[in-house]
Amino acid sequence: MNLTFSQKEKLKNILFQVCVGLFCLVMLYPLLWMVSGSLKSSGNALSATLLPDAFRFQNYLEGWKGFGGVSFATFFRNSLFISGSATIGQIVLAAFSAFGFTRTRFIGQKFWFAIMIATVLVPMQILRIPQYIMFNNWGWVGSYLPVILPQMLPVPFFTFLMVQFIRGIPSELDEAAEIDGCSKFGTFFKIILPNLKPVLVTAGIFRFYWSWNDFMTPLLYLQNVTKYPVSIALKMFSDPNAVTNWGAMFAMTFLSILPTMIIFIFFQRYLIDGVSFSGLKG
Amino acid sequence: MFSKRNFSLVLILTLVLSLSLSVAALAQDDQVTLRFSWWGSQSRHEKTLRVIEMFEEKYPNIKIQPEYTGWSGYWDKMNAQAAGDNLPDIIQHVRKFMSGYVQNEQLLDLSPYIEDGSIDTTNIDSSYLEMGKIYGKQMGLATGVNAPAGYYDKELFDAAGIDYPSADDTWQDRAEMFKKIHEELGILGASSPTAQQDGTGFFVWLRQHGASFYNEDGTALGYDDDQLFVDFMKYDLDLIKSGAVQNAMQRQESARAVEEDLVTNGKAATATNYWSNQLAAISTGAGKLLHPFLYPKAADQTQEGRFMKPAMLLTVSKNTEHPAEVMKFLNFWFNDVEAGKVIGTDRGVPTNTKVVSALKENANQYDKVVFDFVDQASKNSGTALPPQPPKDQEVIAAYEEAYWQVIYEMISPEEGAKQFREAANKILAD
Amino acid sequence: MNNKFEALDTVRSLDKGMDRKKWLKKNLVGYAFILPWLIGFLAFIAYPLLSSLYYSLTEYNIVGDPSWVGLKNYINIFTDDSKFWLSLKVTFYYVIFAVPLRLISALGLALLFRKARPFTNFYRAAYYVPSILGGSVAISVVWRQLFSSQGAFNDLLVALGIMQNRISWIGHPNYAIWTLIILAAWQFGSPMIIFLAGLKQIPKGLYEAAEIDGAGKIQQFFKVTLPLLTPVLFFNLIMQMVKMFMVFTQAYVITQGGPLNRTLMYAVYLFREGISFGHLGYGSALAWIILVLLTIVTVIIFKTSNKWVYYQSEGE
Repeated sequence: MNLTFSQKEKLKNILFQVCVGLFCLVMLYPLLWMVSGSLKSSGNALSATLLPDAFRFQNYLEGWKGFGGVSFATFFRNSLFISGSATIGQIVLAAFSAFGFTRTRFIGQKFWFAIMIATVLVPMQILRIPQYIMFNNWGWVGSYLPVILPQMLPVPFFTFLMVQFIRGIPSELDEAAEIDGCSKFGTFFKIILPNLKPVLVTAGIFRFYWSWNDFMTPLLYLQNVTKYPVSIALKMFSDPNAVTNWGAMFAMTFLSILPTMIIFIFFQRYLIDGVSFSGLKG
Repeated sequence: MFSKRNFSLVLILTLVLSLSLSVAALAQDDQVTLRFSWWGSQSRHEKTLRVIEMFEEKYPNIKIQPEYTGWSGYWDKMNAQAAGDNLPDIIQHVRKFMSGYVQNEQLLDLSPYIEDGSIDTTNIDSSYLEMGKIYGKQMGLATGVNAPAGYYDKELFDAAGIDYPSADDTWQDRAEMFKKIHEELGILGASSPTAQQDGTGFFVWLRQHGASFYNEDGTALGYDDDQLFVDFMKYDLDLIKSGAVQNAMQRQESARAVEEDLVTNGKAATATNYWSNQLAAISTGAGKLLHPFLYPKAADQTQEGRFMKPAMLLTVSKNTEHPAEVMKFLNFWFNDVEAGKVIGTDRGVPTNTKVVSALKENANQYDKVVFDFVDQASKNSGTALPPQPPKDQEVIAAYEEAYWQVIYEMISPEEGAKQFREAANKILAD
Repeated sequence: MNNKFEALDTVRSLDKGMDRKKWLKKNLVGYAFILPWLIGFLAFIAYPLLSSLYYSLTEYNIVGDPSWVGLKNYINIFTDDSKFWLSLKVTFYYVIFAVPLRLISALGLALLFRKARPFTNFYRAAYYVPSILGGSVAISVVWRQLFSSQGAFNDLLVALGIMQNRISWIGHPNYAIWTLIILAAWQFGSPMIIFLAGLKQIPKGLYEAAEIDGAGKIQQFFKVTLPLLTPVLFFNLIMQMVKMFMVFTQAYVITQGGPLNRTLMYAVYLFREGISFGHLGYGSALAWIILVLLTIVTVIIFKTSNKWVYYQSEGE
């Protein structure tokens, strides 16, 4: 059996589509099950079948209503505000600091850089209570500050991503700018930042999605229900003593992952371009 | 993506944000704002908010800031707030966690406010007030009462031709009942013979045999005869062997939501490990009324071991700046009949007799059953449980550990008894 | 990293000629740039970290005040806490299987999606979905259902004739942890993205050269792709290892440590002791122990990295 090259390619493509497509079902199963659960008739949402027994869009309306007059519109707005400001702050400030680590020279640079990398290892759990006591002493509990600010200031993962990326930008560019009389700040804004687009998008997507999903931090610090993000609201459906409206809960869970999915689909090209390993050395 | 102007905008925004943090919200007026925290589901939030509205209408100078969440995470939040001396003025509590808060002086003693009449308790039975007492002090007020309850499916009992569970059943009667159902219908008699995992069943068992789970002052277990633990576990193991109840693995994997219990889909004839305020939830799950029943008696019992407990309590933070206003709210909450009608039985059967009689007048089908059941339970209850020591959670965890190891047959009941007794006494002695 | 800083030293020696004012300004500019990070580090990491070190030397119940007890917490953990050792064992077992499995799935799928074919974009997104779902309630319900005795996983095994009797995977003391490992292997989204990025940066020319030398696809993978990908692999390994050592949500929502504590992950145990039971001092000590352990493991991996991580020469 002799196949030409293009026939072989075609066959491979078909094989690829069938296998990957089938496996796709395995990957999407929980999502499909959840969406189906969000449409099933009440009391049936947890049944194992993948096909809904009804199309009860009522679940979405019931879920959207929220709790005690605070609807999911508020929760979504709060989530957008938290994740949005955390994301914008993070990518700009992380880029700023990453520039400092790569393109300026100062005493203690090596030391601080090593510290920065080492903090990747510090588990969040260890910091929770001391942070709480600290924020409480500062009078920040109840406001968005303890939720947003720590996510806004550069965290090691993103700073490192940006350091890697900046290292890949030829240094001749900023040298030329400096010869032209640009200050370091000028170089950063005029030369480096515009070139950072892919990594800004990558970091932005991850930051957005992590902030969006964060449950414990807002739960500990926010007091007023009108300030709650979606992540908390989703946990408010279940109460061990009462009936859980699973249909409504799945409906809202599905809506809550939509923003992340949409962002992911639209920006995934950048997502990959933003990760650079040029000259990676530990 | 970023023009220079956009960028400076972002920077300015960031700056403004960081500045605004130093300027604390200083806006103030004559209004007093009280913070009120509770956990619950959609319907409880709505009911509670309506009561708050009614209260604010009556007392326009007091504003209640509601801080509600689901159960999950509620205590983490409270613990963190306690650590930061930042507890809300009014806290919905459970009795088993209260002693820790009391010991660390986080809660306000309500007795003086009851004495001076700020909170009117004339219509609240003293046995209900007792439920809010910790170490002799009134540290909270029960929102309502709950009794440990099982639920059974009448149709399945009819199909098997077996008598319904009664208040006079002994443990042995129940075991035979479960086995008979299993033989007749091929389904489970019960998912487990009694509430095992959280120790409630063992509490009752111990009391029936003249012992108790904790000693008077909560410094050790209230029994030292391991045979009590051994017999209790053997009772369960015997039922597991007969196939009438779930085995260890099935118990581990069975769903944790009330409305998913095996009794709701006919795979078991009874569920034994619930409370009276879960009737609506479990019946909704089943799509029909499931009937509540009491825990069994012991054939040779020395005293009534069954009990009732506060479903939850309202407590007040010791740091509240407005105790007078808080008391106004509590007084309203516990005495206003209209408010009581809104709350209904959501937080247990209310303790105020006036509220209860008003509720009974237009009770729905489920509530009627709950009222009757709680009446029955109060006639078949011993003394209230003494307050759990602050280390209760750890002791229960040690109990659960021994329980699972015995049920999985990793260790014998005798070994389990010894392991639990030693672990618990060590925790409590610390 | 070393070469970079050798370069730095040269810069520094050049600095000597500079006058003091210029030198000061240069340093100030540098610090101005890293200031956002520095503030975040000092306020939100360093300070809380040091307080937790202090708390670890105290007896501190959540609603009380800390009282100094010296090394008592650490001594108790090491000599008198069987659950500490159990949770370490469980966590190591989990990490040893879950990290490689996740990395293998991520790399495998990244290789598959490397070439642009119809729908690749859609597939990439679809394969990322499980990671987006994370440890949500939906995942926990689905997972418990899938691996229950009546679940689809048993259906499959029975249909394939691998097993005759259905077993409860969630309820079985020896297998429950595998339901979590499988979940970890299945949520491979973020390392996959990083692998894809790494693959993209391998110069095409290298493959052409290999092909001219007569290397087949498999040889190309071992001779070109894998060596050039080792820095990325290394990065992913460290990141995923740290993540898995502290895995919490998945274990917490699916098994809650059961059955018989066989899935008691370290972070779950830490949470239970520190937050649920409110033993802040003891919990802080537990946290510091895992931090030190993590550091040791990371350092070991770093040390071995010279042997297997291949770096292209700086000059490329």
